Amino acid sequence: MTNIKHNIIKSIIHIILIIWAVGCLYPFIWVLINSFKNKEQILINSFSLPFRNFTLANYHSAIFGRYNILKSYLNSFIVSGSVVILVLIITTFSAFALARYEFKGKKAIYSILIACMMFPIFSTIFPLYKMLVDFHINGKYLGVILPQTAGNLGFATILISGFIQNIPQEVEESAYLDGANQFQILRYIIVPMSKPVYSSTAIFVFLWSYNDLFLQMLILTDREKMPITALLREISSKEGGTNQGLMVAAVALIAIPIIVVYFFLQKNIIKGLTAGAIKG
Amino acid sequence: MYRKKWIAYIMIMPTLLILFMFLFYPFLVNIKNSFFKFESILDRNPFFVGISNYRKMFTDHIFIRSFSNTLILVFLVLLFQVGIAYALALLVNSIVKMRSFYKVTFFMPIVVSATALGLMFNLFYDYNYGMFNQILILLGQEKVFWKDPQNIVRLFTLIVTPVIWQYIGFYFVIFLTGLTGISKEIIEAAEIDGCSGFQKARHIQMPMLKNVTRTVIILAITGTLKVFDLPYIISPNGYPSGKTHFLGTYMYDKAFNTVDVGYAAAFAVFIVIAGVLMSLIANTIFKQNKDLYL
Repeated sequence: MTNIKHNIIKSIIHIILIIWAVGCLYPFIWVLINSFKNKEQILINSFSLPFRNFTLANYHSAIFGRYNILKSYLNSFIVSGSVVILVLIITTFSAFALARYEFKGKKAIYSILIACMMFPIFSTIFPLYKMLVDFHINGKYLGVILPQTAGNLGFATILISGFIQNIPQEVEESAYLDGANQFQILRYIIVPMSKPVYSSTAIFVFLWSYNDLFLQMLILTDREKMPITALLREISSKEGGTNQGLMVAAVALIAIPIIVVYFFLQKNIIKGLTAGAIKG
Repeated sequence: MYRKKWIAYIMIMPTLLILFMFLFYPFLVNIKNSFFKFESILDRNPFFVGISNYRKMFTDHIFIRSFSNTLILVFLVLLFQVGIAYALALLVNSIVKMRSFYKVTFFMPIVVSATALGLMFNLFYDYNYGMFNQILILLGQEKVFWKDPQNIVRLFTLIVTPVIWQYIGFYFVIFLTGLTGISKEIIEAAEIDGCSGFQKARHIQMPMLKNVTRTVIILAITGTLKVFDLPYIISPNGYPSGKTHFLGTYMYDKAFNTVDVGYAAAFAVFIVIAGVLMSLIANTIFKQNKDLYL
C-alpha cells in the first residue's frame, strides 16, 4: 500500500517539475522554430514546426542587413574577454596577498571589497561618465572595459582568496626551502592549483559583462562598436513593432549560442554563477 | 615564508587603485552631485542647491510611483521568486532520478541576457504574432491587447513576470545546494519518528536553511532594487506616462532624457540607502533564534 502511495507522490512531483522545465525550455524553442519562418507563417501558426516554407531569410537580414550582428558579437567578445583577463590577472595578486599574508589593514581591505559589491552602477554613473569623457575613452571599448573590471574586482578577489586559503601550505613551504621566491610560488604552485576557482570566476565575470546593458548602451553608442546586447536594443527600438521575423532571428542569434555553450559547460556555469552566493 | 609585508601591499595596490578610481571616487562625487543643480551632464560649474533634490523626490509623483512599483516588485520577488525556488528545491531534493536534468533546465534562463528575454517576451505579447494571443485563439478565446496603456495592473504584471521568472532557477540552485548539505541522519531520524514531508520542511529544513535563506533574501532585494534591463525593454520610459517606472529606469530617464543630473544623483543615493536598509532589516529578522539550531 505505502509503496503505491509513494509512487503516486513521486509521479506527481515529477509532473510538476516537468511542467516547470517545459516553462523554462519552451520559450526558447518557440523563438528558434519561428526564426525559420517568414512573418506570414508566424502569423498563421507560431507553434508549427518550420518544415514547410523553411527559410533562412530572417537570419540573412539579421546578419547581412542593416545591422551587423556578427560584428557586434566580435565587439562583445573583445569587451567581455578583456574584462575577464584583466580581472583574473589583477585579482590573482590581491587574492594571494589576502590569503597568505598577515598585514595591517587586512580587515579594512576585506570590508572595502565587500562594500564595493553593494554599489549599483546607478550610484557611480554620472561622475564615471564625466571621467570617461575627460580620459577620451567615452565611446571606446576601454570605456566599458575599465568600469566593468572595477565592478568585478571585489567579488573575484574574495572568491579566489577564499579558495587559496583552503590550499594546504606544505607544497609552498618545500618550494620555498628549495629557493623559490614568492612570485614563483604564485606562478607555479598557487595559480595551477586554483584552476577550478579561476574557471568559475571567469564564467561569472564573462556573463555579467556580456549581459550588461546599462553601461554598454551608454558608452558605446557607435553602431560599429556596439556589443550584442546594445545592438539588440537598438534593433528592437527601430524595428520591434513591425519586423517580427527579424526580431525572432535577432533574439535567437543572441540567446541560442549562449544556451548551447551553457549545455556544454552547465556544471561549471552553475557553479560559477552561484559560487558567490553559496559562499555567503 | 610570507613575512615580507611590503610585497602584500604591492600586490594589493592595483586592485585598490582601480576600485578607488572607478567605484569609490565616482560614488563620493555622486553624493556631492546630489546637492547641486546641473545644466548638462558635463556641466563643470553646477549650482549648489542644498537638499532640494532630495526634497523634490517626495513631491514628485512619478518618483513615488517608481518607488512603490519597486517595493511591490520586491514583495512579489520574495513571495514568488524565492517561494517557488524554495518549493522546487524541496521537490527536487525529495527525488533521486532526473535531478541534474531539472537543475540544468531551471537554471537556463539566467544565462540569457535580460535584454534578449525582454525582447522575447515582447514577441510573446505581440497582438497578432505573439504566442499568448495564439494560445488564446487555440483555446477559442478572443485576442487580448496585452500592452493596453489603460490597464496598468496588467502592464505591470507583464513587466514583472519575466523579471521573477528569470531568476527562480538561480535561487533554486542555492536552496538545493543548501538542502543537500543537511545531513541524511537528521532526516532519517525524523522519518523514523513519523515526520511527514511537510513537517520535515517546516521543522527541519527551513530552520537549518536559515543562513541560506538570509543570503537569498538579501540577494533578491538588492537585485530587485537594481532592476533595469527588462522594464526598460518591455515598457520604455515607464510607458504610459511614467506609471510603470522603477527606481532604476526612472533615474535613467531623469538623467539622460530630462538631463536632471543632480536629481538623478540624489536618486542613486536613495537607491543605495534603501538597499542597505532593507538588507539590514532582512539580516536582523533572520538572525533571531540563532541558538536554536546550529
